[in-house]
Amino acid sequence: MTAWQRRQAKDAVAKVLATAATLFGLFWLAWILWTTASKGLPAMKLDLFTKMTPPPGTDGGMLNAFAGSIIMSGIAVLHRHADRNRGGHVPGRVRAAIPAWALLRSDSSTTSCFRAPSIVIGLFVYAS
Amino acid sequence: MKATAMSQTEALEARAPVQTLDRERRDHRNDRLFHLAMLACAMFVFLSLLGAAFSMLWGGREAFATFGWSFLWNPDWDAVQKHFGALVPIYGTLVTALLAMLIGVPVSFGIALFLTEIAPGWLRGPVSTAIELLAGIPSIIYGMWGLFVLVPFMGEHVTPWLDDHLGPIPVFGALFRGPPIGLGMLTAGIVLAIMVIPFISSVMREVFTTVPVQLKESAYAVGNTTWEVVWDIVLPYTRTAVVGGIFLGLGRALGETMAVTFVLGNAHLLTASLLEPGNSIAATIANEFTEADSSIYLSSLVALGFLLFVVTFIVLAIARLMLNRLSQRAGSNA
Repeated sequence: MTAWQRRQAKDAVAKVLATAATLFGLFWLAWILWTTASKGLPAMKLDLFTKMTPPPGTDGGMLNAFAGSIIMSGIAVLHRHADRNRGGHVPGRVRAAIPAWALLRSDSSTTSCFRAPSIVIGLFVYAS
Repeated sequence: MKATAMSQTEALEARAPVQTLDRERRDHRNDRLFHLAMLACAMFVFLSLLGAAFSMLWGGREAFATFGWSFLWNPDWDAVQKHFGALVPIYGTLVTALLAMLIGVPVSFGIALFLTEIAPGWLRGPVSTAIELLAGIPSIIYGMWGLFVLVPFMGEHVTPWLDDHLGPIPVFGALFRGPPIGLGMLTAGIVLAIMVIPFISSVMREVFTTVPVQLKESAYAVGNTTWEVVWDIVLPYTRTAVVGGIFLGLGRALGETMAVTFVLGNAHLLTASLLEPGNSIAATIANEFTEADSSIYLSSLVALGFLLFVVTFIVLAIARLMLNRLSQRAGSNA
């Protein structure tokens, strides 16, 4: 095998693996969507949206759960919207004004992942 | 034209020198106000973060006072004897996140490579949308799907095979010895990997497209293959952002609660095996918070929350140091 053939082979392997990785990602998406659709669609009736959660053993819907989700995300969106209007986009000059407390300076993408895990937020809200 | 403009300005200034001065002052004041408002927004985020950390520490003071430093490496978690230690949850959190990274990072790189270099143009849009759709699936769905679909599948097909074929290998095999129940570190790692893939791959794809075409074309022109261009040109050029994307995923994997709680098995066991059920910090808190019947129990859970904070912080600090070192090695490049 010449050097050129070896490089070509390596390239081909990389391309096959990259394509396989993409199929790997799509595979899980398809599996999860298939599971939720095949198990969830039979339950899609009007009652689901118009009735409350029933006691065990009787028919009913999930109106209370839907309402809860809508109200909570509605409040969150309103807050977020207000935040944005106050200035979601922070200009660089202002960023520079924030003292460099260790890692918290917001000048790189690592900062965006320094978010408290949701469970910690939950504990915080509960505890205080 | 220019002359007219000049004369107009001059006329304006001659007519209203006071107004101009006023306006400048007003602009300056507004600028400062804006500056302060932005600073307040930034500080608000920072202070709530700090507040969360301190309230965790405060809530966990009883546990820290009772168990001291041994809370960190004590593997016991006994609600009856009221003896708590954080070793098992910390270990579980780190191992599942590490597994997720081991699976998720190469796959994400492959996806980004496929989407930027290999796929024909018409395929790129739909495929990248589909991959990003994975990020839109709520974690509770991952948890339920994991428990009802993936766990039985793993228990029936994957874990017995691993146990039979990899289990007998000395040392290394200890990782793959275990009962065929499907719950455990490996399943949790896989679910977490699926959850972080969209984050890491979309960051990678995004930054891969920022590489100047001239750089890539020159490399192709001297006879490089696609792989060589990606590995030797694209990756070095974008490595800061790529590392940032990886740690974005890691941050998510460390703190993920619902999906892990469903598939990890919630056993306070310390084993080397990836097939045995275990526990993670977030899963322990989510599972046991409502059951905490003594103040020391509750305090231990809050202390766990504080440790999760610390673990996340340490991991991101390491990320930061790595990025700094990378940019130092690259000189002014980064």
